[in-house]
Amino acid sequence: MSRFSFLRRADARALRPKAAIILVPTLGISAVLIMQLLLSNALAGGAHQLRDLKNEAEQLNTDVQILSEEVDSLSSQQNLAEAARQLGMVSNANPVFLNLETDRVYGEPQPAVSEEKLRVSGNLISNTAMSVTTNMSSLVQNPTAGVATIETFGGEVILSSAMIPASPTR
Amino acid sequence: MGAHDAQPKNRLRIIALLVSAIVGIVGFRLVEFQVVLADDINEISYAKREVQRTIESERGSIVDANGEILARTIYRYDVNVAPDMVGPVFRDIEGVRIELSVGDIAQELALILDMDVNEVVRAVSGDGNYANLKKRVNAAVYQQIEALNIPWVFMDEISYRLYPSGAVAGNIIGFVDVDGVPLAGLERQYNTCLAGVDGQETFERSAQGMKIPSSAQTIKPPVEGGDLQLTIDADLQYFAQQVLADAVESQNAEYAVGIVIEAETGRLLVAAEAPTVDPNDPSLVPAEHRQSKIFQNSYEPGSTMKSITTAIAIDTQNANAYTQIVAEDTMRLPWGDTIDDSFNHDPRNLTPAGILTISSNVGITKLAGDISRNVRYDYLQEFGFGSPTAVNFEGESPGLLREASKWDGMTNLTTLFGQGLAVTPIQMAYSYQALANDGVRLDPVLVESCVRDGVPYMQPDQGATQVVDPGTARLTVDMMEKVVERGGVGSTAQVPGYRVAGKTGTAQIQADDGSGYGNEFAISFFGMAPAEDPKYVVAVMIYKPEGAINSAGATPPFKSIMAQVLRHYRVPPSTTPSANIPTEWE
Repeated sequence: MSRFSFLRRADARALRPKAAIILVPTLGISAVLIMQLLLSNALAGGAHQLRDLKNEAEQLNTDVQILSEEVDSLSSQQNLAEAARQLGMVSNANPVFLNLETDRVYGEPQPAVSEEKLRVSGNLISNTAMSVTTNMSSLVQNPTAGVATIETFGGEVILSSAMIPASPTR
Repeated sequence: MGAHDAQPKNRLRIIALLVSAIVGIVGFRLVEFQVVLADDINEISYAKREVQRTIESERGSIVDANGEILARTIYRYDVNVAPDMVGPVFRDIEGVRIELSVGDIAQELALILDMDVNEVVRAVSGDGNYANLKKRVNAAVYQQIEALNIPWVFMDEISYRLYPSGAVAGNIIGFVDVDGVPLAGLERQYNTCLAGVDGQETFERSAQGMKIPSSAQTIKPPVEGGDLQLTIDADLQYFAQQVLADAVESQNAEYAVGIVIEAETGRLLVAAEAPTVDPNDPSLVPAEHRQSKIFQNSYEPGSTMKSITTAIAIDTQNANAYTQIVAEDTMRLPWGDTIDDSFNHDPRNLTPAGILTISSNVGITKLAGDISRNVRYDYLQEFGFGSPTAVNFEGESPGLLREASKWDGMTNLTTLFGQGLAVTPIQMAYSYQALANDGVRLDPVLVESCVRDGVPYMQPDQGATQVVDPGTARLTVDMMEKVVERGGVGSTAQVPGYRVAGKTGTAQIQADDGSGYGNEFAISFFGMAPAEDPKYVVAVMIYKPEGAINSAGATPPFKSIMAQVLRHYRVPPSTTPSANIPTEWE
């Protein structure tokens, strides 16, 4: 005869563990673990997104730097002067001013002369920061086109007139 | 039955006691770790994870009068390798995974870095963990290297000073060394404005050494450097430098300087020199061309000083437009020395305008030689000679103006025509600015402002000195106009359409061995336009041009720069004739 046979049925029932005691902590822990898993996933996803965005920002910053260095080069005085020269532009040392209110002409118009001694044609000022220069091949068709010469320009402007002279350029 | 009933209860009690004891111990340790020792443990743990990093502040930009950037900070990259990790690289090309040997990679790197492939192979060989391949590559190269995705190549970002306009105003701007330390010019003088203050941040890193996202904490934010705005007009500066470089080359001169001043404000628009330094690579020119000769070199000015002497004579009422002087071509002094004109001529009846027009040393000596030396000394000081300008440029020379009491008999007279004293080009130019501005000499302004975070950090405090009476200044300018109107060399400075006033200078240079004046000259032309209401002062000085005997080499650059200045600032041509004053008398 077993020694437990002396227990009463009611006592045995009282000693039996209740399912709720096991279930509640188990479910609770499971819920916490699932929540933690979801949170970790969300955080990891956010971290990846943050990393991707940072990489993209870095890439864009580098692009900006490359482009601004190119702009610096192209807008430098050395490049602009050289590009203008190659396009056949000639600086005119004899400016003429027009007063629109009085219709007066100030100064004596003279054609720009490319061989003018007082003007320096080629660039003499160094710039080691110039990484790119203007590509003239697509711009230059005829370097001398559009530059007035003494023969075609001279004698057509009437200075004594109070009227603004018509430009002989067509 | 009683004994049997007690047994389970006792066991339960013992188990409960044991569990309670364990829980108690764990609880105690928990409290000990979480509360009592928590701070210490956290500190040890954080120290293992925490990394401190300096956040570099960005050096401010230098811009010209129109906001064009002359200096700014960008990034360059040092390309490095870890030789102990060098190995083949796997790359997916159109879905196919291929293996690239170290040789293949070396070829790719050599092509991008513009290096010899053997040089690259040598650098990546070995068992060290660091070797530099190339320093200071630009962002485009950086991007190409990044795209190769080579695990054993890494790059360091380095702050780098870029001067987009190269040598334009290089002599004024100065430069920094490879570590960003300012060495010369405004970069050095205004370092307190330009330099920022580095900040600091901490972040946590993982066991693998990676930065934990969102862990960064700025403990000291960086303060960015201020932006320095100059009064220099970069386009005009470029033009003047071009003209001067051409003059130096064609006249085989040692150097040339050119200055443009806005007469009414004292703003320095151009401070050009040739040769000058490209701050991107100062090593390209010898040390003497890495400084600013406009501020740092002094020379005996010669005849350009005669305009100042004439103004002093007029202001002290020792001369007027009609003062009559008989000027021989030589003048014997009581102690035996002579003063000679630069060319032989019969005695001429000159007015002060005539003295300036033919630049007669004898004439100016007769005109102003009797004015007290102390009075003249005071005037010269008021004109700005003998002390550095308010710009206070790094290493600026005060020139040389001895006290009047120390002048000997000869110096007393030679200072009348620019010998026996030394001036810097900037001093001489601003003495002419005073004449152009109704006798008021303004302190030169080279730096307009320094702005930090939109707030002015520094602005110049400009002083003004009424050196001579406005009427004196006007009359002197009228006389100087005759130099350009009728002078032999002076007339080559004429600018079509404008009235120009100015004065030539052909100053002998003392021989280096102290044996007196040699055969070399500092030739110059200082002038202003439009003469009826001077807006701009232009000064040109060419040092030691080969074979020069007069200032004819200085007037073409003056004319060229002045014409450009008048056009650049849209100054309408003159419409009135010059003053009706005589140069000679009957």
